[in-house]
Amino acid sequence: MNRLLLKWNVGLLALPLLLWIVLLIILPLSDLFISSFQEKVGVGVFEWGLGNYQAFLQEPFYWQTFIRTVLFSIIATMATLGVAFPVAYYIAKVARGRVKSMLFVLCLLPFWVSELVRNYGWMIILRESGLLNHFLMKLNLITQPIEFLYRDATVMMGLIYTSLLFMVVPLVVVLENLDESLLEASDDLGGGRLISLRRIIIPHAMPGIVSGCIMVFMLTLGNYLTATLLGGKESLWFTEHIYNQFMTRWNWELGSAMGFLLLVVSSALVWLGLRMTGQKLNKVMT
Amino acid sequence: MTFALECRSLSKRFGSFSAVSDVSFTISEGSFFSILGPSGCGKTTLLRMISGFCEPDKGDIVIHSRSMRGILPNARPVNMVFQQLALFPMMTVFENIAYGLRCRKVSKKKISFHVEEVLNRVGLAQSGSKKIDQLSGGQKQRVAIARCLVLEPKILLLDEPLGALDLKLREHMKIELKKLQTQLGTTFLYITHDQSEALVMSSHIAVMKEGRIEQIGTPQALYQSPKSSFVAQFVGDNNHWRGKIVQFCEPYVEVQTEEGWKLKALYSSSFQVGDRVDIFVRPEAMLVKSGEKKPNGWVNCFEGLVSSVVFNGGTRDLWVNVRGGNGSSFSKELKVTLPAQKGDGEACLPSGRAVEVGWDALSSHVLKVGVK
Repeated sequence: MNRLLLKWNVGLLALPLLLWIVLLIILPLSDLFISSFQEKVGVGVFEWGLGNYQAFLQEPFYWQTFIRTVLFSIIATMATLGVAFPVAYYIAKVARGRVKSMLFVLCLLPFWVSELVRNYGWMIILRESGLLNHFLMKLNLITQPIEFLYRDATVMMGLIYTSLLFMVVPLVVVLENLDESLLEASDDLGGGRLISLRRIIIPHAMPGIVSGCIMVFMLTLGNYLTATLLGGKESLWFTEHIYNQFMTRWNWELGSAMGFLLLVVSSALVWLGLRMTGQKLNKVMT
Repeated sequence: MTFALECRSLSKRFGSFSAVSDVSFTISEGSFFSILGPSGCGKTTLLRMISGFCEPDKGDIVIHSRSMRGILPNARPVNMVFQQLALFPMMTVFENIAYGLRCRKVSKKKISFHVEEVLNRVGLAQSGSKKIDQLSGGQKQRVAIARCLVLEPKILLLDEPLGALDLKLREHMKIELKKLQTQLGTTFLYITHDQSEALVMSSHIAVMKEGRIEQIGTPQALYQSPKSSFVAQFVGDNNHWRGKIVQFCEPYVEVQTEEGWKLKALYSSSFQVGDRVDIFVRPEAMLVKSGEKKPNGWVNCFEGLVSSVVFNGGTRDLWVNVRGGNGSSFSKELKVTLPAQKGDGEACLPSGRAVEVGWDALSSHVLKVGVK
C-alpha cells in the first residue's frame, strides 16, 4: 500500500517535467516532422513526399542563407568565446571580494530588460541619427552621418553582446575550480604565461568552453530579434525565412522542413564539436 | 665555500603583519635542511620567497652565488613540491614529468629518455601512461618529486608534502625521502610543522617562531640542547617547570619553582642566585620506582600516583600525578616514557599505583628566562 502511494507520489512529482517534455517538445517536434513531409496538392489535400526538402534545395536563396547563417553563428560563437574568456578569467581568478560580485552583476545587468528593449537600445545608439553619429560629428571625425545599422558587422556585434553572459557563466564556474597551485606549479617548472594558458588553463576550462559554445551557438542560430532588428530586412538570417514561411506565405509545410533542417544541422554540429574536443555531453552540461 | 642557498636578512610584511623578519641562514650543498615551526610562523612565506612567488621587502636570496633578486619563478634554479602536490590532472604521469622539459624545448627523444630515467629512480617505471587519479597517495608524491627532479634543480623545495598522507604512509615516505635525498645528492629544503618529520629526515633544522629563526642546528643538537624554551617545548616532549634559582650547593643549583617544588640542576657559571629559569626534563630521562624501598642516589625525587598509562608499542607513557614538595597543595602531571619490555615490572605499572619519580641532575636542561 505504502509502496504504491510512494510510486504515485514520485509520479506526481515528475508530472510537470513529463508534461513539459511531451507537450512542449515531443508533440510540436513530431508535428513539425510530420508536416515537413506533407506536400500540398490541393486545397486542404496533402500527400506524403520529400517535396518541401526539394524546394529548399532547389532555391539557392534558401540554402545560401542557411549556410550563411550557420557560418555566421560559428564565427559569432568563436568571437564570443574570445571576448568572454578574458572577462571570465578576470572575474574568476583576478578580482576579489566585492569587485568580483560587482563585475558578475554587471555582466548580468543587461539581461534584466528584454531582448527587444536591448536591441532597441542598440538601434538608438547606432542609427543614422543616433548617439554614436552625433558624437562623431561633434568631434569632427566625420562630416556626414554613417548608417551603422543593417550591416553584417553590426549583427555580429549584437549577437556577441546577446550571447556574452551565456559564455561567461560556464567559464567563470570552471575557472573558479582551477586550483591556483597548478598555475604556480606550471610557473615553477618553467612554463611562461602562454604555455600555462595553452596546457593548463584551457584544458581545464574545456568543459566550460564547450558548454558555453553549445549554448551560444544554439542561441545564435535560432536568434530572430537581433538579426532582424539590427540587420534589417536584408540580414538574410535563416530564422527569418522560417518566420516568413509560417507567417506571410502561410506555407507551414516548407517552414516545418526548414525548421527541421536547422534542428538537424545544429545537433550535428554540436555532436561534431563534442567529438572534436573529446568532451561528453552529460559532463559538459552539468 | 659556496652555499647552495644563502638567505641574507630576509623580511616580508603583509600590511601591518610581519610574516618574516630578518631571517638569515645558509644551506650547504647536498644537505637536507628543514624549516620547522608551528603554522603561521612564516615558513611558507619564506619558501615562497625562495621559489620566487613573492618578493622579499628586504634582504637577498643567493643561490649558488647568484642573487635571485628580480628573477622570476620560472627562471630560478629551484623547483617546488607543493603542499597539495599540484599535479596536472589533465595529463598523464609521463606528461606531468615531461612538462618542465617541454617548457625548456628539449627534444622529444631526450625528454622520453630523461622521463623514463627519473620514473625508474622513483620506482614508477611502468606508470608513465597512467592518469593522475589512478595513482595512490604515495605514488602521487613520487610523481610530484620526479616532476621536479627531472629538471635537475639546484635546490628542491618541499612544502609539507607529507601532510595529506595517512600516518602509515607518512612514516614510510619519511624514510623514502631521506633515502632519495642521500642517493641523489640534491639539496632539499623541507618545510614542516611536524617535529618528528624534521628530526627523522634532516641534516640540519631551523626552528622558526613568529617570523624569526629561534635556533639552527642538527636534530641532535636541537633535541639535546635547545637554546630557547620555545625550541625545548616544540621539538620533542618535555616536562617543564619555571622557577627561580635560590641557592648554590656545588655541584648543583637549587631552583624553587612557581608551584613550590625544590629542584636540583647542574651548576653553570652563568647562573646567579635570583635568576628566573625554565627547567626541562625529557620524559625518557625520567626514572620511576614503586615499592617499599626508597630509591637512593636520585638527586630529584618525588612521590606520585600513576594517573594514566598509554601503550605505544615499543614504549609506554606514564602520566604521574605528583604533589608539589614541602606539603604544597599544587599537583602536576609528569610524563614518563619507559621502554615496554615483556615481564618488566616497572613497565607494567598500572594506573592508581603509588610511585617515586625522579631524574638525574644531568638530565635536566636549564634555560634562563628572557635570555637567548
